[in-house]
Amino acid sequence: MLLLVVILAPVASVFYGSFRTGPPGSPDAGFTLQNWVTAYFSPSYVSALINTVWLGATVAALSLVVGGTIAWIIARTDTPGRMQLALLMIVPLMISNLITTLAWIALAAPNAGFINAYVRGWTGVRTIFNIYSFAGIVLVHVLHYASFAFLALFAALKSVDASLEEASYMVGYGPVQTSARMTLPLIAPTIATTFLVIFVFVAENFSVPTLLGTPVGFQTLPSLIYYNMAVTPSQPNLAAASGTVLVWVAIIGTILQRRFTRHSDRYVTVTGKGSRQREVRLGQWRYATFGLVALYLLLAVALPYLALVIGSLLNFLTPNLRWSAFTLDNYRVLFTEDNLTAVTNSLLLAGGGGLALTAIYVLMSFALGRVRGAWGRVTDYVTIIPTAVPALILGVGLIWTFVGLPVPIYGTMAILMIAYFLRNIGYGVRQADNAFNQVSGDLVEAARMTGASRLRAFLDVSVPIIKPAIFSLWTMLFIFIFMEVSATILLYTPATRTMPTVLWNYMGSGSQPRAFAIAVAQANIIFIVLYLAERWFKTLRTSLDK
Amino acid sequence: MAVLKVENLTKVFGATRAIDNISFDVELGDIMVIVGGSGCGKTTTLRCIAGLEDPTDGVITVDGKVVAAPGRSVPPEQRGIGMVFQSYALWPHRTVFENVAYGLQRRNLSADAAREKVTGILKQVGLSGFEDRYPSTLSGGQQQRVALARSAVLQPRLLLLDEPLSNLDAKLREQMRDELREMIKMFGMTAVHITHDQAEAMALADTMICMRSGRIEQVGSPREIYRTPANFYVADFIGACSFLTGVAVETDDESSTFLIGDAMRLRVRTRAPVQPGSKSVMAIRPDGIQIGGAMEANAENQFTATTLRETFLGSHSEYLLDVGGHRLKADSSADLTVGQACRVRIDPAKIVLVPG
Repeated sequence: MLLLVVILAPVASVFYGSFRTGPPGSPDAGFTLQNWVTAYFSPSYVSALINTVWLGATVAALSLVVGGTIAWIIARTDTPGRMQLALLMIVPLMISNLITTLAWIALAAPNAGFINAYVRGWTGVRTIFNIYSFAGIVLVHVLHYASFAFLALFAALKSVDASLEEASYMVGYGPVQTSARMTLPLIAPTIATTFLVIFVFVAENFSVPTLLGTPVGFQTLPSLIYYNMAVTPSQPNLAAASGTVLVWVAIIGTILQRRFTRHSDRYVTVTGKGSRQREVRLGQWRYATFGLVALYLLLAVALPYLALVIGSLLNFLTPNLRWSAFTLDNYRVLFTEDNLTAVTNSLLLAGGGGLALTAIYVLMSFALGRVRGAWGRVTDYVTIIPTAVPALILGVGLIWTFVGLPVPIYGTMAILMIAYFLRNIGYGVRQADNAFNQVSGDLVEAARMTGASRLRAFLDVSVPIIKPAIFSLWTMLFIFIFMEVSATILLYTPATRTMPTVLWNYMGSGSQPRAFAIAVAQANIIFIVLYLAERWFKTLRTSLDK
Repeated sequence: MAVLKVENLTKVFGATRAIDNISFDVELGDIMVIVGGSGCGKTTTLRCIAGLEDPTDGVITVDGKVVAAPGRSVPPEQRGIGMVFQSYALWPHRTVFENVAYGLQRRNLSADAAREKVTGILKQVGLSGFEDRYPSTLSGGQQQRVALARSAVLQPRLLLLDEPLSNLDAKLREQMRDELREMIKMFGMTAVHITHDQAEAMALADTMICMRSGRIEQVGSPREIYRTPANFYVADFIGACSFLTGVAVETDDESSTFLIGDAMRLRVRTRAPVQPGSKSVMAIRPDGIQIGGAMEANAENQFTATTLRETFLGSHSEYLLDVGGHRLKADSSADLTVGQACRVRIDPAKIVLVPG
């Protein structure tokens, strides 16, 4: 019950606030429909909505093409180094698209971007690619979400029962026709689901369009909401009203996605062991496919990382790399008191908070698993609501929920933890469910038949078996929290600043190299965490198997 | 002495009666096999005895102690019952030794005594030297022996076996079936084994129970059940069988003659008087039909048959015969070809009248 309140209160307060003339608590606030009229009918808001949908659809489609091609190359061909490439393919998803955006600003800003300057030196073309554009926003998103599409489609391709395809070969269809007539329809539900998930993620993202679109007058709903919330004079009630538009978009996307997922049960073709698919022998072409995957990794990871490292060592962003331009100051600033607070906060929230959330989700999964029937289904649906609510809106809702309460939660780490808890509840509980499902009932019952009590059996059998999955969940939550900016940006105070918020503010104040230094630090920490998690718990490997 | 007493056991899931008021006893040292098709209630029965499922009604007594009665249930860990699971349910994160030793940790045993027990039992099941292996590195047969050892080391009053042979391939299954019986006897355990495989049931059982739709159709030794099936279902389910329907034309105290169709007359040894003119179903096992020999004058139950189908099995063949327009199954090593005519004789003592 308490869970229901915690989950639904922020959403309710957003809807309530959207009908008011002032923020909750202000004495002269009254009811109005004006916010809704503006948010739903005024030309600039309608065009922002169209931009949002168009951007989401473009990114989702292109990500599927890129990610799907790579998934096919790695799952079905004899391209050299497939397993290593597959592991590396997960990395872009772990680096937030805010960091990728920064890196691509360094690479492709109109004048000073490294790529543009380099190409200009060769050809004289002033700007070969301007990152401040619709194409730039699409590029950054696609580099990030192609990795997501890869994971989903790779798993789907791997799980198609080989004998289904073999049967198609045996009735006389070649590889191309088999792919088109058998494989593609079999993974179609996965493709549809992945499209919608990416669509919803992109539609609620504010950081990329704010950084890359706002300077050239391209607004999406999230960037407009952020503008209304953060830029004085702020119009929080209008932000709330346009937030409700975004909620509808996200809810429709999520409902469609769940419908496809339910549909896909019919296609369950996982047979486990013994079904190895036929590999397509590419001959010389296998070097070309290797090159293609490597090119993606170059654009999504290596080049951006290099650009960030170089950019973070500069006094100011310039393509003229003279010795005098280099400095270590940006890193020195990281260790000044204010920024050190952000570093400790981030590590504390991601590490300690991540661990606490892991425990909570595992307990919730354990508790929900025992609640069967209608009530269980209600709770199941309630847990996906916060996932569907855009992070910015969740931030607004949390402010309004807690600012009026006598409990001093606003402005503390606790409100950030609540936001992270809500943001990741769907993912966390589902992962914990999966972990418990790995333990077959027989194993627990066998322990009881040798004299172990219910609790003993849980501790001796279930817990050791799900341990790696639990640690993997912690790793993922660490990364999600460590990278989180959308909800944090509205909820933090100077005392509770985190690395992404400091980075964001440096970008706002034009100190790009300092932002780069933070991005490099963040990326390095993520790399270390991923490396350790893979080493100890095979986190990456298991996420490929799913 | 009955180690296990099941009285009026009933288990209802929603609208279905998975077990419908069944009762049986298992004597000390006996292997009781419950056999039946899927959904007959055998698994639920086993789980009720184990305590993994609570009966809707009925009383279960183990070793004179009531473990389940309406409103009362002893948890599984306190029943002193061992169980071998269909999947073996070996804990993947524990070695063979740790799997077997797990239950002993809660007995007040010194580490040395426990080690000795585990080593001893592993030797008995032929797994010495496998102590430090993990279950995933063992073959199916070896896993099954570890599962048995894990239960046997605790010397349970009763051992339950949930289709432990069904995951093995055919050849190994036959071998393990015989080994399993020997090991259970060697440990002197009383066991309840469930299976859907009637051949496995006959090979393993001291006593068999045939179940269908939550009810017991027949209880008896494998011989009794094979030779004198209580009804059509049991005759059909256990072993191969042919059925004929006829009308009694002559009857005396020990036998009756039935007219089957228009021309076929069959004499049947009967245990109870048959009403002349009444209709009956006769069950004939393949081994009740002899193929070959010359036609004798005036011999009873002697017919000419035509071979419709032969299934060669090495030591003998299974034949489907046409006898006066009726189809009968027979075993023989006569090496007939399909379409060949032959003489058959049906032993009157091996024909059983079965109630529909």
